[in-house]
Amino acid sequence: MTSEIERKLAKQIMVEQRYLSLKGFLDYRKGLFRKSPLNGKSLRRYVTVNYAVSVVSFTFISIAIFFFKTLGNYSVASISNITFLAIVYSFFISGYNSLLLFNSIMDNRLLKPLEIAPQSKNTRILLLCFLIYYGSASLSISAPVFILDSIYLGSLSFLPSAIVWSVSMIFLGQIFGFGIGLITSRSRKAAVSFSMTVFTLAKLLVIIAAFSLLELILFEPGSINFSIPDFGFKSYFLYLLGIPYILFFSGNSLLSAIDGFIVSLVYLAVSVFAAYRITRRAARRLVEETVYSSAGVVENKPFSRKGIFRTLLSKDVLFTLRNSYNAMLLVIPALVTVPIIVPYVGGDYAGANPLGVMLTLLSLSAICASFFAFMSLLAESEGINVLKTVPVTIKRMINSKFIFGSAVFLPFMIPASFAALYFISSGWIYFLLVPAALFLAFSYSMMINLRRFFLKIPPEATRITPDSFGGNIGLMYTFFTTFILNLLPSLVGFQIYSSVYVPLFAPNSPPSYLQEMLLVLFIEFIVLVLVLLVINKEKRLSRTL
Amino acid sequence: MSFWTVDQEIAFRNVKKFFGEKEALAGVDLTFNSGEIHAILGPNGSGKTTMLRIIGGVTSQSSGEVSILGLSPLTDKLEIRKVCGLVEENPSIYGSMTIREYLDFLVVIREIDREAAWKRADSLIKGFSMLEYYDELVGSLSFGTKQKVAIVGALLHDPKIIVMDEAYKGLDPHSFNLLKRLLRSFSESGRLIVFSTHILEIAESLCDRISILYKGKIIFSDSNDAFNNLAVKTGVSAEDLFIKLTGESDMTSVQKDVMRYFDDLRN
Repeated sequence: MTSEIERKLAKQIMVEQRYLSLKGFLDYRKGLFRKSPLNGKSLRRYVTVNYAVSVVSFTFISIAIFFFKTLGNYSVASISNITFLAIVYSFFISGYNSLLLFNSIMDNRLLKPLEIAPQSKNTRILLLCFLIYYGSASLSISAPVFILDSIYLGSLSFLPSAIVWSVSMIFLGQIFGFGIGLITSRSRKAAVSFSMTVFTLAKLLVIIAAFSLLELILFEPGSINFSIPDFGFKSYFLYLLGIPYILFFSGNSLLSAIDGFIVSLVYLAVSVFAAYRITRRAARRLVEETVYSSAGVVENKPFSRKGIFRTLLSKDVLFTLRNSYNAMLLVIPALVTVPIIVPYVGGDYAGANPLGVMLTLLSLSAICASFFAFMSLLAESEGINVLKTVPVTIKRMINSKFIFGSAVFLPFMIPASFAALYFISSGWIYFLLVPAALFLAFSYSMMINLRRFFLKIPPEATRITPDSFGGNIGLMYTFFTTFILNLLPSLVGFQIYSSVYVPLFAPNSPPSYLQEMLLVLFIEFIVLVLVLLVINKEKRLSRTL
Repeated sequence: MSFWTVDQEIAFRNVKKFFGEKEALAGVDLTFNSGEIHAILGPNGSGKTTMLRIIGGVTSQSSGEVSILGLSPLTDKLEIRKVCGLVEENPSIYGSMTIREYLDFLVVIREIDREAAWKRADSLIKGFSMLEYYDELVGSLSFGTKQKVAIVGALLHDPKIIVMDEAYKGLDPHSFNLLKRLLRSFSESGRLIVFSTHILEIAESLCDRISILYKGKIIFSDSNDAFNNLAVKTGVSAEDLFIKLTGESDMTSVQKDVMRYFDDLRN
């Protein structure tokens, strides 16, 4: 049993995390704590409000996915798919949140103060902190789906096992998140040796592969479900993939429901045991000093001859290559390319046109423009203090971060658009126009996001954390506005084409995709020019941080 | 008309600084002249760091006027950062860069002549016995070594004004001695050094002029000798005078209770 003091300490970690994020962000504070000052009470309230917002958002997402994916087909097969999707989604969220928690505790050394305690309870405090403030919120993803399942199936026999699996996913996600945290925090090296680079890349590839598989399950649960050979009774022993069988296909008898429940409990027990073990390791790592090692070679050579721009750029590259966590955050947008491209490669969209490809892939531009802007500032962390002592304008920082973001975006976007265009047998001209349209959309929206984030940093801020820009809610807001920004020129272009250009200049001709795309490109180009003009002329951006 | 005069490198007039509702500086009037080592003394929370961060071009005042070589922190932070070298109490240096990479970064960002900067960095690195750490990540260094890196970084562009916020913290005796000699040499060549501390001995051994900041206000500002003479006149030691000036000469009832508790324990 956990003691009151352990629960209090778990909450204190959350309060401390929020305090460090909000400290110095006066503007944000004014809005958030209008009626009360930034103190323990208001921070505790903020933690609770944040938790409630997560629960409500997850519930909405879950209900939306249920109806969007079933589309009125409430057969057992359809419902088993969506239930499987919800359970896997809760695993995904749990994994993501546990990784965030691990890194935030590590970066801010939040477990350090507990070191002086006469007995170590770090493992239990860390476990409680995760389960109360992150893990339990993941249940709001699966719970609404279970309720809808029972309504449409008219049966409750699957419910006990389903609940056990949901809880099990929280622990599995934690194992996954803390596991990645442990791997990426092992050491930070100065040596930019070949083996080091290969090792970092290999780690990233494994993570990308794992997440891509997960995303395939998320977006196309049917393809995974039905490609699994029917093992019948043996499905009880297929971890994760056996969930639909255990919940819905093992038979309607009470005995089969009890069998399923017992099997699920066994898996839960294994997950809890493994989660406890990994939390113990994580707790130990989180109080260790960060281990750094260097090349060990001292060369006495003068300074390089780089320019300011290249120097700022190399700083961003160093921050990413030498910090696995930053590197991992950077490749997350790559993961969404898989579900976007799979339907094209699989021939599902064989009849699609290049405009359709562009519209689909604009989601990739929007995700990258939001995420890169967000994470390029997060990567600064306490380094923001260095930028506040050197004579560099915000404009220059925006430019260098934009170039770095583009250098990461292009290797995702070009192969993705080429693959999609190839599989719809598009004309060669679109192999130039579609990537150009995507890059233009990415460029202006990333610049707008960077400008907004930089201007949000108040003079007294001493570190940058996700909560500095509103945490998950801030990130979702950024995603939402960036999606609109990305789509707007296309929608305006299509509207102008159909209601102005065609009636005036080509009333009897069939619609030309090329003309429409050129119009969209033109509008995007105008938007980019306007954004560049604003950034170059804006006085606030010609100043320092 | 500007309130700043040419012989004054820095001038503060009725400067206030607020953090939310908290007043960190409560109307500071003070001038700093070229060639002097000027110590800002004060207890914890008296506003020393805030004042030094304004001089370093990191932050600006909420009200009042500040002139740093004729520049205002409200509008000219970029230019101020070019002429100032700031070492903060907790050095902010990129942990994922090596010392060489960090200094290289500063040289480019500050647009310093590479050859001159290299000579300066090389001699300072050797002087502070840091050559063996030159290709180590800053994140792996001890607090004292990080502090030395911050000092080298702040002196790299040969600043006209050197601002040090408790910069001696963590330095070994050899490095502290070198720092004192360097600061003396810089002041002789006409540069202004502003140095904060709450330890009177350090201020006396290093500085020409002492200003005492208490609860956001300057309550004393004169030469080192004038401060000692005042102590002699009032019949107390310099340290006691400092404590008296900062309003903490008499033990509060709480402090008395604490002392009584420990005396009882001992008996």
